[in-house]
Amino acid sequence: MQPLIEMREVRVHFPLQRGEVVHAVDGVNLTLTQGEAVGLVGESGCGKSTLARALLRLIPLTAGEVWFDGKPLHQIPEGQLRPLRKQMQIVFQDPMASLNPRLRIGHILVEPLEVHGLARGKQAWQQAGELLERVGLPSEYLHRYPHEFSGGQRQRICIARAIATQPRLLVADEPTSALDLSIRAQIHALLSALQRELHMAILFVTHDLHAVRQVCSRVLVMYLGKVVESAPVERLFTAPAHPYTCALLDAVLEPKPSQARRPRNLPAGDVPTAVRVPTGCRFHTRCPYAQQRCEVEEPSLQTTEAGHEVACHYPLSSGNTKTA
Amino acid sequence: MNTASNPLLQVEGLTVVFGQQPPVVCEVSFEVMPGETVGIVGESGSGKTVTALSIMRLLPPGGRIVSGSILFDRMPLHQFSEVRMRQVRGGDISMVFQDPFTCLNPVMRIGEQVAEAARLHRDRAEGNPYDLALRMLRAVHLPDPECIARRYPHELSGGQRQRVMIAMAFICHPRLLIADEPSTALDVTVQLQILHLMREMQQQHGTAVLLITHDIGVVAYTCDRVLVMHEGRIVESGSVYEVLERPRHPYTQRLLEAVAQPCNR
Repeated sequence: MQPLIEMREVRVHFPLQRGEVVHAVDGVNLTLTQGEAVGLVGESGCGKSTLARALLRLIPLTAGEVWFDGKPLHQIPEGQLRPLRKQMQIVFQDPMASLNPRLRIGHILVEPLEVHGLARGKQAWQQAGELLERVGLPSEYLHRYPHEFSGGQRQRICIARAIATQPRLLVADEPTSALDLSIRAQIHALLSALQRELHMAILFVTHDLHAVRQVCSRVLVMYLGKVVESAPVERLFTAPAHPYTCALLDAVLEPKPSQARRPRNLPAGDVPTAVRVPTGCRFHTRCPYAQQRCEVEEPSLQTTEAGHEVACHYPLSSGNTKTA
Repeated sequence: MNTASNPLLQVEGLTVVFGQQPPVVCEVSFEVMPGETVGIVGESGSGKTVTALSIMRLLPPGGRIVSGSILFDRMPLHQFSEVRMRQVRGGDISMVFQDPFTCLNPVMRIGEQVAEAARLHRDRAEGNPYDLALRMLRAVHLPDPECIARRYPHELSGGQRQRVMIAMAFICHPRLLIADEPSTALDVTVQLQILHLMREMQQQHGTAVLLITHDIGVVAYTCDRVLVMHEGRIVESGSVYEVLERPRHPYTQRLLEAVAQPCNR
């Protein structure tokens, strides 16, 4: 089956003054099949949001290719993108910043329908009402303004707008990071339900590993512009192979004191800047298992078993998670 | 000095209002013993930060304490003049905030900022404030303290800035540290480093900590006791074992359900 999305060796660099360059995304391959939910996790500044935006061509690629349903997205002129835009939508982190405060919810939802010629006038308004109900809000809310809603409700409205055009791909960029804990799970459940009902692919960008487990079937871990590990969700949680993935999992603190684990090997220091990327393996400056080879030779993604890839010279084997 | 059996901080019936609105903090009472770590956990808007700011008497404009008392080592902080409060802040009680960048003066070198706290609150006989600052920067495990001291806040990473904040907070050997979401703005792998550092400094200085957070995992990992706040009130309190293992209040139960274990390795 042809994948819905195929990104090949994608690079996004941002030039700074004095000839320096931010290597935000530095050679990433990513495939999404129809109806699949994939998580993209990593810490702030690892390039996950940049990659997501590059996928939608909201920012230009420095190098590489993006294929959407067999079409070369990276080559299509800006003016001819609109028919494809209908098929790929995005939900951002801050719902208040992405809703026009002066428009009623109805207008916000009708706009994509009219822009893409899917409906007009009364019919569009009726569809907008149906969209609201689909995301769990009563259709009477069409007449209200964004400020009248809570954060969770606003995010539901953003999701309703994103699915208005029945997209085949939904990019969710930290959709629940700005929301309270007890609201997050509801939004994750909504995304999962919509993914199944509409059979759309979701690229779920987040730093919240818990969220990934609720929504996704596969997950990619990014560090300093590169994918360091990719695996089915359960596999990643039970048998992480990259020391960085391990550190991320260890950093999730258990809510019950009786289950508190002593984190084993904390990575040292901070994430290096993407301007001066370390040589060799990008994680070697912080990796508790780094050896000489890691400082000079950059590891490539290797398949360890079906669907599990890791970029590490000395991957941790399952059951035998090293303790130093 | 305090005997171990007396609470270091005793908050009794604290109620805080903003303008004509219903109280943001309502009838809140709790104690912190010397050397103890107490967590206040709750969602945004639950009143946890306002509770902390009331203790420091740093409420934003419009906010005022309408009833209740705040006793620190039996001294009534709620009745203190602004001049006396200034001696308490950064001296006996210090604070670490969520965002280290907005708390540091952007046009002042790190060493000067850390030394300033020592200059204000410590006796000159204890040594040159700048040397004390360098010693503190070393104590919080910043690499090459002399070099860091000459830098400006924007030249440091988020984790380094939070280490600087912790150095400033501990330079006067406070008896109480109020930490408001100290690790929330940091990357997850750096978060744990900072929590470990806080614990290390706390043990060295014998400081009690009031830790405000929305992250139950952080509470379970660092605190002895926990207070759960919801809509301005404390709905449940007790040892972390009692509250987090066997929550009694429905709100606490809901909070814990929302963070079901993501890892089961």
